[in-house]
Amino acid sequence: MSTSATDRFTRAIGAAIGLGLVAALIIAARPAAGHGGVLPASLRFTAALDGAVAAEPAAPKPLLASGPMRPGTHARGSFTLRNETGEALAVRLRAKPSSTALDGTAEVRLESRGVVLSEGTLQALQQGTEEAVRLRPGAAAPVQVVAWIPAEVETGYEGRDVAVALEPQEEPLP
Amino acid sequence: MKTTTKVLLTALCVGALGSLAAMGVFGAFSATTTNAGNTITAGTVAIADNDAGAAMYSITNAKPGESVSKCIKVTYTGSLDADVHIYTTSTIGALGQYVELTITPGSQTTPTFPSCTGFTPDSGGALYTGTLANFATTKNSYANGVVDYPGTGTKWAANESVIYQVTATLQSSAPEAAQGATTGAHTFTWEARNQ
Repeated sequence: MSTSATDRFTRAIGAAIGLGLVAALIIAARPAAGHGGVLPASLRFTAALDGAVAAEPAAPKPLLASGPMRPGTHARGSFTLRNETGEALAVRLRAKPSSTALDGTAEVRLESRGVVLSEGTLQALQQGTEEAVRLRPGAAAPVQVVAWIPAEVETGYEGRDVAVALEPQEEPLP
Repeated sequence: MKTTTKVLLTALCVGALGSLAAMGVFGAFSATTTNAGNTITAGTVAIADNDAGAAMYSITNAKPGESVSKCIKVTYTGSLDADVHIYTTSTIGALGQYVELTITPGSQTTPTFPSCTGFTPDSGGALYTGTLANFATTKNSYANGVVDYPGTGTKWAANESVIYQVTATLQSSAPEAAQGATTGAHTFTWEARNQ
């Protein structure tokens, strides 16, 4: 069967279009460069109750839900602590994460009334904040929470979701 | 060919054939499948209050008709649904029979132990009304303790709380025998058990 020049031209065009579509599909499906090509991490913080100190919002409502986190991403939230006892209390906060997946990767800073209570890794926060929130009987104080994955982190966060409960630990003040 | 060589070659052939036969006997196709990551984590039962170790009341020199009303917030923080019973295991002194005790559940806008400012009783009314001595006699264990749930529910779930107003009144009709008597220190217990 002989083909005319027009047929050959048409087939060549069709083949080129087909190849172009295949190339476009491959490029579209290719993982993005840098950190965009991997699954992000996510962090969710809640404030636990212990009877003496109330928190608002209290668990299970999150005080911070980060959404997709990649190196350099910061997430912020806040909650209020209230001393429900009849004594002045020094309240420290301790992290209780659902897993150790982001222990050494995620950084957390807690701040209240301009005082940094703690800044360091999620793992360090499991020992409790260095500084305490001082609350008179019935008094309340806001606490700001900032969580981030440092920009220089290259790996160790991909696809990791961690829920963190912040538990109060009280000491009576003289 | 020497006999020794023949023997060695024969042994070599027998060994090689034997090895092939053994592979046929012991060889087998195999495949496995696994189910990984199985784990069991126990739930928790935890209950706390806002007293910070302080007593609700401590009255000295009480007069007939004198009353004290204090509020305590009890919060359940366990992960398992639970029942909570209220009781005392304390031994009550002679004055207990002349002290009227009322325990009323409710809510409070800004609880601050032991204040009852802003306390609103639940519609169901008091959980217990009677003498302190009777409470100690009839509500002295989890089994016979007063049962209560937040609101109209039938369980305590995580982070639910109830404010209890505890009122103790020295009867205005307390007899002369009550003079100088005491109830002794007594403890109220809220015990949670998972459902």
